[in-house]
Amino acid sequence: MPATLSSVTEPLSDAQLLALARDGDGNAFRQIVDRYEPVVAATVIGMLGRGDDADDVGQETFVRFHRAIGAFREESALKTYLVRIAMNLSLNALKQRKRRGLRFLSRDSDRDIPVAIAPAPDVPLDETQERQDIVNRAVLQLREKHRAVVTLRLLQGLSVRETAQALDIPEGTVLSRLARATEQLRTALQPYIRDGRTIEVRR
Amino acid sequence: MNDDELKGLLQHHPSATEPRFSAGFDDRVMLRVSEDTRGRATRTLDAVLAQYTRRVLPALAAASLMLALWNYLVVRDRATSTFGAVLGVSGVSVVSTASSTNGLMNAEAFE
Repeated sequence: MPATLSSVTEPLSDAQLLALARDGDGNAFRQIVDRYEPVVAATVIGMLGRGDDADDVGQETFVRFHRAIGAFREESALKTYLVRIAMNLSLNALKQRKRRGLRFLSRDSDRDIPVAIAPAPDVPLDETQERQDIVNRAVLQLREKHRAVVTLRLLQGLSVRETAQALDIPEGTVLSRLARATEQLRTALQPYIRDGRTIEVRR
Repeated sequence: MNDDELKGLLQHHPSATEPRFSAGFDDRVMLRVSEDTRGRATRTLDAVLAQYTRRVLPALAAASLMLALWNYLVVRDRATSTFGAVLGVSGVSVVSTASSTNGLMNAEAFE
């Protein structure tokens, strides 16, 4: 009798979960969602910031994956595959936002449009939230292609190769974009730096 | 600021410190997946029916035309109208009615 999720107590491997999910086991797919939600969330939130858009894109990532689960051959790691879907959907969402003319986005990916800086929130934040807000705004100021590299390589810790695979670009391009992006981040964060590491919150 | 210092600063980013969507994300995903699966099943049935219709419709149209032509050629002398001929309906007269009635009632036996 084939194993089902309910009959197994030990955590299953990705391959086992995928096999069960392909056979229509909803609980197995839910476990995949639960396991990879942080990865997808980090990608989407890194690109879009927090909000309903990010949640929608996160959901859509798993819906697309569910549609393609029969065709997924496990030649690439599930993590890289999901990150790639999430990144593509995030970039699409950014294009849609741009078309709608929302101003709180960062700059255009292809043209040098003046930076649209996310406004500081109206509500008072504690120090942790304020640090997050400062870094978040610095990342959102990057161009999309630079932000994508920063999100995957620096925020998620993917290797250069994995980043290149997820973005479908050469590894050399990853490195050059990373160099450009880190330079911009240094410039953006420099005013908040104290003793090299801390983000100083002005009160 | 070197790379390690920058990485340290980036640990303050929301995606690095709270890599989760809002509560109930898995439930929302499963609901979307369920809706998507149902929607695709319906679309698949529609697509199959449309494909089948597209394949069969020309053959049906050709067969109808051939039948109409055959009817017209066979019945046109006895039909009261072209439309009737196409449908294969010949004109009705007292003679033809009596003839068919006799045939039905086995007129030869009566004789």
